Amino acid sequence: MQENLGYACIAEVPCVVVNVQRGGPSTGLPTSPAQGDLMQARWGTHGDHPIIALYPTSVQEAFELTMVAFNLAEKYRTPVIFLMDEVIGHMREKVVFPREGQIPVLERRKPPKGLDKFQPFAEDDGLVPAMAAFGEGYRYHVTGLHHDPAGYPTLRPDEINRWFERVFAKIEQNLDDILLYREEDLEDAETVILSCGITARAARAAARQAREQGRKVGTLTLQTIWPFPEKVVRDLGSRVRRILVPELNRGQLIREVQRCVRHPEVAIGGINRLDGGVITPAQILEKLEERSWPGNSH
Amino acid sequence: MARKLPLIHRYLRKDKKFPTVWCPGCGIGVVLGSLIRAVHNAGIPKDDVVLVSGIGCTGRMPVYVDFNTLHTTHGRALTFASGVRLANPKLKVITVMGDGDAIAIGGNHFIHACRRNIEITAIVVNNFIYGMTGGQFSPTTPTGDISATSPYGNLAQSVDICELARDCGASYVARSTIYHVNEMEKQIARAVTTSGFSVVEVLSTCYSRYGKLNQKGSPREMFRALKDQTVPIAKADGDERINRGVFIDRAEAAYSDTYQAIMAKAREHDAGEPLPLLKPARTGGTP
Ligand SMILES: Cc1ncc(C[n+]2csc(CCOP(=O)(O)OP(=O)(O)O)c2C)c(N)n1
Ligand code: SF4
Ligand SMILES: [Mg+2]
Repeated sequence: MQENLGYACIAEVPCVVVNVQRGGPSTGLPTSPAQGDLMQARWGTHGDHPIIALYPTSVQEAFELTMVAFNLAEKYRTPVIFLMDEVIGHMREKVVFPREGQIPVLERRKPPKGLDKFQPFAEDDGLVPAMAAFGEGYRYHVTGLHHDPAGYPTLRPDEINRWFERVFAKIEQNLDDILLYREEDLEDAETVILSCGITARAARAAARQAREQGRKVGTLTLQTIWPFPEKVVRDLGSRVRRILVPELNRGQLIREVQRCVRHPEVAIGGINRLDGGVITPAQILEKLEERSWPGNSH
Repeated sequence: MARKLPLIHRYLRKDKKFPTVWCPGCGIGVVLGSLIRAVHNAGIPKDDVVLVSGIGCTGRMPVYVDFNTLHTTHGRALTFASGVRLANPKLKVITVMGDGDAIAIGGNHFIHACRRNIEITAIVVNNFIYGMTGGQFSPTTPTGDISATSPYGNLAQSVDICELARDCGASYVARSTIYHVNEMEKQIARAVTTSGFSVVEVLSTCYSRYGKLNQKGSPREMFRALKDQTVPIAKADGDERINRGVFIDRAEAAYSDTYQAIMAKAREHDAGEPLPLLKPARTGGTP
């Protein structure tokens, strides 16, 4: 699978790949939840490449984000990885279908008809080349080798560099469109619980209970985990005192948080679980009370 | 009077820089010539042809030809080709694969493409070796032959691609060689016009990575040996040599037509009405 995801990256094939994660490695835990494939979604295929990965927290979101995933894939001509937790994959929940048109359905950009010469990978009107379908009259070449704007294999460093710059830029210059996240009670928060998927639901429940006890706790739920919302997390790091990152792995998301936060005085802690169970609100509350956390040792 | 250019020049890409990646004396170019003539004679417009390959020396074939061309990953030509065909059944989808590409890493896909009998033509260029990567043995390397990974002789039995294809359900299965160009051309022409999954195995030569190691002589001697080592099926009685000719030809089934019909049925299905099999079972008194 990973090799062909790389193919989709280099040939700029719009596609959505769903990975409902189970506990691993290998046959691991059939079929219990785990969030062990976050880094795999980012780096699983070989070679440097940008990628988009979305992560729903509910069945409703699974429905809506699937539409978003296809839209992003078509708009930016990139594979989009749809990461799910096993519990969400198997969950039955009420879904309110959006009215037709409420979530727009984007079509890929096609080249105009009747061009003398169609350059399938040229930077014409933007960073995302128009895409012709086979059989529509433009005969061209698609390959997993590095290629020139005409689609033919190349070893020329200038063409290869140009390609890398373009495919990274088409994602990096559109972060406002690609990054989806949900903030709750962040205005006055001293502690933020940052998470994704099923863990975010425990985080939100825990944060509400903590608020009831008078603690200033908020949540940041990432729906786009790749590209990582670096600026959002960096800004958060300059406003809050503590960031808690619960996740069903040994600490994949927390590394990104540590990488982005520039203030050493901000305490960043994790809760990790790998045994096939989920993290509960009680566990999160307990961690928030822990003596070793700054602000708790009075 | 100007010399008339051979037909294939009308099909080679003018904007693609030649020469090809192939070694002097390689047999792959001969297959490309036959393929082009067969498609031309079958009257299939260039716009309708999708030529799909995997990875290998054979896999480099599509880039030179003015069709819709798709150079995929090692072993996966048939998976991409199936996608193309299901997405647009008007297209004539042809895959070219090496023996390693089609039968080693792609062996599983090959079996299931035969089983589905999907409307794709698979041309397998069997040079008995992994040519591109330096001459490692493949599933068709004869037992005992020398390769980069079997310096004391290949241990395993070799597979018969045509028997495999026929037994797995392909509609059309034929074998020829690069020595028998007319025969190959006829087989390819039939393959691209029949329905169902069609397989043409073409025995070819790899002088650089196989011939030299096994003292097979010059490229020309290797070409000629294909004549001596093979026999037409009709004359094969009791002959131990490799059979050439048509193993099965039973134009049948149309997988992607059936697929289109099922899609139409699914679209007509009332979204509010569950599929019969998915209706929740009533158990334990709870409705
Ligand atoms: C997944 C993967 N494994 C291995 C390779 C390396 N590789 C490239 S070509 C090749 C074998 C080619 O042999 P064959 O398919 O017989 O084609 P030929 O070169 O003989 O025409 C291999 C193993 C690869 N590109 N990808
Ligand atoms: S290595 Fe063998 S198969 Fe590949 S181009 Fe050379 S002769 Fe042909
Ligand atoms: Mg080979």
